Amino acid sequence: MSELNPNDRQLIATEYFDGALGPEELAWFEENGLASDPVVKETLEGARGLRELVRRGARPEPPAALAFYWERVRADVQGVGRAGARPMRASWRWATPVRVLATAAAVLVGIALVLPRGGSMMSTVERAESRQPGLYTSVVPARGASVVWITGLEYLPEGYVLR
Amino acid sequence: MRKCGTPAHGPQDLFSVKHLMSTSVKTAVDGDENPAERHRQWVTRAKTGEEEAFRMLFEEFFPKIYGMIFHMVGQVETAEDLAQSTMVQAWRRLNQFDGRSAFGTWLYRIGVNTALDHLRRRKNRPMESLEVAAEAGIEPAVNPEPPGGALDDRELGAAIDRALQKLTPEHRAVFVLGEIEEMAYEDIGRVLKVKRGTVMSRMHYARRHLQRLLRPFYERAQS
Amino acid sequence: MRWLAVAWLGMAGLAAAGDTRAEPWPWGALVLARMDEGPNDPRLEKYLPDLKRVFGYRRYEIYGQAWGTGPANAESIVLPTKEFFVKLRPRGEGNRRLGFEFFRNERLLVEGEAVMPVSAPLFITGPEYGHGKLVMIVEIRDVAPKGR
Repeated sequence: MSELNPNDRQLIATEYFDGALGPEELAWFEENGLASDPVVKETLEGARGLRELVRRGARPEPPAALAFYWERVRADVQGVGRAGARPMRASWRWATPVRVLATAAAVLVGIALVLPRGGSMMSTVERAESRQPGLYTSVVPARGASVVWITGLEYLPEGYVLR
Repeated sequence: MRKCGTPAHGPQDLFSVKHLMSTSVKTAVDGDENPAERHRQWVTRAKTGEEEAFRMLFEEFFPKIYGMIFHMVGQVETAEDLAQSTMVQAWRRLNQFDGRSAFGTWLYRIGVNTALDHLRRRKNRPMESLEVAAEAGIEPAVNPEPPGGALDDRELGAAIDRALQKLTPEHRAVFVLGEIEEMAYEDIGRVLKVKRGTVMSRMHYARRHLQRLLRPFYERAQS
Repeated sequence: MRWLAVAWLGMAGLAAAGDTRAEPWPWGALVLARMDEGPNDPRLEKYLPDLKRVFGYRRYEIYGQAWGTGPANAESIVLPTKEFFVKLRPRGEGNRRLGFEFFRNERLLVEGEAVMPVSAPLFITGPEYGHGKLVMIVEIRDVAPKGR
């Protein structure tokens, strides 16, 4: 134990905390009474406190419209974008294929959404486009409304106060 | 397989993905009860071109990959885009998956690398940074200090996400995979292609940094 | 010919008198969609099925709402918040074809054209907000705001 400097003790405590010590290392850890070493104890307490805090914090909600993303993935893989992975929105040279794919996916989702209702009066978006770099739009007809779906907008943190 | 966070050291939470990472087949193989075997079957079917099989993989993994990437990049829409990109890459490269690791490990490797690539590119595009946006006059109303009243989990979650963004991407990746996704050091090493010792030291320094950043919340939670 | 003119004017007058409804007027709301449980804004009741179907969140609250600055047959700005708003312009006559522009502050995010019958809403997605999302609802209503 005396061979270990404080930094080494902290690292071993980290492994111990994470359950990453092998049987022999664990036995050595216990035989040397490292659990009662002040540096190790402090490291363990800090890690434990942080873990409790992290697990208490709210998780990001999963994406709500899973079907929408599935259709986008499907369209991307099976459509014109075979040459590479789905591009990032800020890459302007990909903007057109992304719009095409997003629109195709949105139409597929839209058809699924609108089918059960039939021909009631609803708004119809004939065109929606953005000239802002990094923004692209899709039109999704729902049963009772049309949706202009914009992706690429800047995230607003919780509590952001709109003017 | 050893996991981060054994029961002796803390509770297993609802967001664990460890069952997705397991490569061992414990008992008689039953596709419905053994996630690894279920994934293997879906992968096999998807490789033959069966779209429905990949859709099953998508439905199981997309929310988890999204959650992991969200912690990496700190932005909902970017995380959705990157998670989508991860699934697209996985589908296209499915024939390269040889089954030596769990499908989840392979997929997380694609997801983490996608997120890290994005973060490296973002370094050169400062307007995407929330901090720069704040300088431009967009002032988040979230108080960086804990509120005076009871500690709100949602506020705490936002503070944790902000603190995570202050780690280097490499330290953040280890912390997210180990502490939030509850992956074992060995699996983290496979995902990030680094040695076990590197995982350990990054985890240690990530924790220390986060403890400093979150100290006010930590003290409040203690009280 | 005079009788024809009188008849024409009379019919026009009757038609005008028969149409007791106000001229259509745009209305809009900026909605905050959230995943947590809680009461929905009762003013959103008619939109909830579509909002839930399309966006999948559990709770919908109005962040701000406003009538347009003019009727649907003229240029109108629907300003539920100063930050996010929509400009509408009529395109052609009679069929409720409108040009729309969605702004954040002075920045034009999206522009387009839509046919918008009365009471048929248009949703425009805004940015993610915390763990939720902002959605702009624009609708032509068959009632004018008070005082118009």
